[in-house]
Amino acid sequence: MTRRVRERWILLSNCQTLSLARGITAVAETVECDGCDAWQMAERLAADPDYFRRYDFMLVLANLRDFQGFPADRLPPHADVPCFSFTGYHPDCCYVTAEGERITDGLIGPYHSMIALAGYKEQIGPAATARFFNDRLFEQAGYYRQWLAQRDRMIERFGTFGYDISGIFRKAGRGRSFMHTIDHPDMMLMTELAKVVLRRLDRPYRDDAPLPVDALADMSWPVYPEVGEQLGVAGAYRFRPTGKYNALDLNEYLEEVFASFGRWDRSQLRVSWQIQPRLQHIRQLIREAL
Amino acid sequence: MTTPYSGLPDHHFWRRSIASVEAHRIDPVVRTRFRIAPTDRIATAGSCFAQHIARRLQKIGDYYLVAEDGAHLPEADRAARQYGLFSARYGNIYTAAQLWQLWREAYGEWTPQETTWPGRDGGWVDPFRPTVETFAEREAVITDRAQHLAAVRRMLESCDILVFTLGLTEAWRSISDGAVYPLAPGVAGGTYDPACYGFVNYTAAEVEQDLARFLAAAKQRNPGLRVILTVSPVPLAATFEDRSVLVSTTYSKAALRVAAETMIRHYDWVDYFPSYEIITESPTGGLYYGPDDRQVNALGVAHVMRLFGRHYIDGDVPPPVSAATTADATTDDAVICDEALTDRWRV
Repeated sequence: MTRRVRERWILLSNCQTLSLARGITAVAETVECDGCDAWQMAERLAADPDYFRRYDFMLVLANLRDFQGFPADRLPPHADVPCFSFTGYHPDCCYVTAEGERITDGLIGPYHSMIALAGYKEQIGPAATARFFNDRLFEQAGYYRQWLAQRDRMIERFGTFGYDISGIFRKAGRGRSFMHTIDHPDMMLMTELAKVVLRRLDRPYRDDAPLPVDALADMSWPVYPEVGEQLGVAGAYRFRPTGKYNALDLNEYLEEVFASFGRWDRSQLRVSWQIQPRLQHIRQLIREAL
Repeated sequence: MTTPYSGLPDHHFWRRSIASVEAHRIDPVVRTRFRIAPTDRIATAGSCFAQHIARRLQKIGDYYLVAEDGAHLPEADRAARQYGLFSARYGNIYTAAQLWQLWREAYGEWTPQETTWPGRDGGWVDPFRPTVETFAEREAVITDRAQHLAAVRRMLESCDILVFTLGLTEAWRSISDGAVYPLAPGVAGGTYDPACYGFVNYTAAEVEQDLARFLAAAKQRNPGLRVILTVSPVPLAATFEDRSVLVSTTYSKAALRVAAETMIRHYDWVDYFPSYEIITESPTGGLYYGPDDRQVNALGVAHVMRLFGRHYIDGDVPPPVSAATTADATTDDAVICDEALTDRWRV
C-alpha cells in the first residue's frame, strides 16, 4: 500500500512548538508538521535564507512577527496562531525577576510561587508562609476566579484569529488539569488545539490518533488541593524539582525557595507589571492576618 | 414554525446547559423554593451522604443545629460516639420508613417491642442505631434512647430547615411489630433469626407514604419548617434481592427519586436539591467517586456544597475551610457508612 503524500508544514513558535507540531502530525490525515523554535530561527535562516519557503505551508506564532529577523518577505503560504497560556489551574504560579533578569534556575525552573514570594518579602519565614496556602487567602486573592476568566480570555484570543477553541476545555479538562504549568499545555490539550487549527484550515484529521510523547512534561506545577476542589481535579502540595522525580511537600519547597531567594536583595525580586497588583494584594492580606 | 420548546431558557436543553459546560461547572439547580437566611438553623438526617452535607454546613457558618451534642463528654469522646455526626444521635437513617418510625416513637405514638440487641463484640446496642455506641448495661441503652428521643423532638421543633437524604429502599424489619432497622440483625448487633426478622424492599409508593406522613406530622409540630430532600448518590453496599447489587442500586435510587419528586409536587415548602444528579449523571459520571466506585470523593462533595451554598445561602458566606487541606482528595474515610458493614460481615 502506498502512503498518501502529505503536505509539509513548518510551525514557528515558542516552547510549545514541538508539542503542537507533533499534535498536528499525529492527527492530520494529509499534513506532516515540522517545528522551528523562535530561538532557532536565526540559525536556520543563516544556513538557508529560504528555509521556510521550502515548506508548503507555515504556521506562525502571532507575536513572533515582531521578533528581530522575522523573514516577513520570505514566507510560504501561512497562517497565524496565537499562544495558549492558562493560569486557571496554577493561579499561584508566576515568573520572578531579580535585578531585571528572570530567575530561571529556580527549584521548578522559571516557575515560582507568588505566595512564597510574598511571604519572603514580608520576612515571615517559610513555616509562617506555609499557613497562607489556604482556602481563605486563595479566595481573597482571586485564585478561584481565574479558571473561567482565563478560559474566556483564551476563547477570545483564539477567536480573533478565527479559531474556535470553546469546545476543547470540556474534553481536555474533564477531571484533570490540561496544563503542566501556566504556559505549558499538556499533550491532550495540544492535540485538541491541533484539531482546531486543522479544522480552521480545512485539512482532515482523525479523532482516534494516539497521543504523541509530551514534549512539555519535564516541568510541572502542582494543582493545590483547594484550587483543585473548585475545578473537579484532585490536587496535592507536591512540588517536583526540575530533573527529579521525588517531589517536595509544601514545607520542604518553601524552605528551599526561601534559601534560594536569599541570593538577592528582597526589593529586587519582582513579578511582571500585569500581576504586580496581585502580589501586593497578597502581601497586604498576609500583613492583615499577622 | 414554533414548537412548545421554542424560546425556552438554556437549562431545558441538554446541549446548551450540559454538553457545552465543563464538568466542574455543571449546575442543575435552576431555582430554589427558599433561601437559607443567616439566622436559620439547619438540621440534617439521612444516609451516610448526609454526613458530608452536615460536615460542610458546620464549616460555612453557624447554621448547623445540633440538638444532641454530647456536651457532657470530653470532646475526644463525642465524635467516637457519633455526637454531632447528625443533628441528633440517630446514626444513619437510610429509609423513609425509619424516619417515620423515629417520629412516631419520639412522640409516643409507637413503642418497639425489642429495645436492645446484644452487641457484636459484647455489651448492648440500640437496634435502631447499633453503631452509635455499645453500652455495658442493657438499661443504659434504654436510658440513652429516652434522652435521644427528647433530643429528636427538640431538633424537629426548633429547626428551620431539615435536610433529609434518602438512602435506601431495602431494609430489615421485625416480623412481630414491624419495627424497621437501619442494619440487618447480626451485622452490628442482634442475631439473625428468619422467624423473627424479614427483608423488605419498599416500593416508590411505600416510600412516598412514609415520607408524606413524616412531613405532614413534622410540619404540624413545627409550622415554619422547610425541608430539602436529596437522594444519596452512594450505591448500595449490598442487596438481599437475588440479583446484581448494581441493578438493585438503580431500582432503589429511582424509587427514592420518584418519592422525592412526589413530595415537592405536594408540598411547596419542600425542595429537592440535585446532589444525586451532580454526582451520578453522565456529565460528571465517575469523576466524583473513590477507588471503590461507591464512596463519593472530596471533589464531588465540594461540587455539591458549592452549589448548595450558591443557591441556598443568603448573603456573603464565609469561605469554607477546605476539606482538601486535611483530607485525602479521593475518599473521605471519616464518613461512617454503616451499610458497608453488611458487606464486611457477609461471611
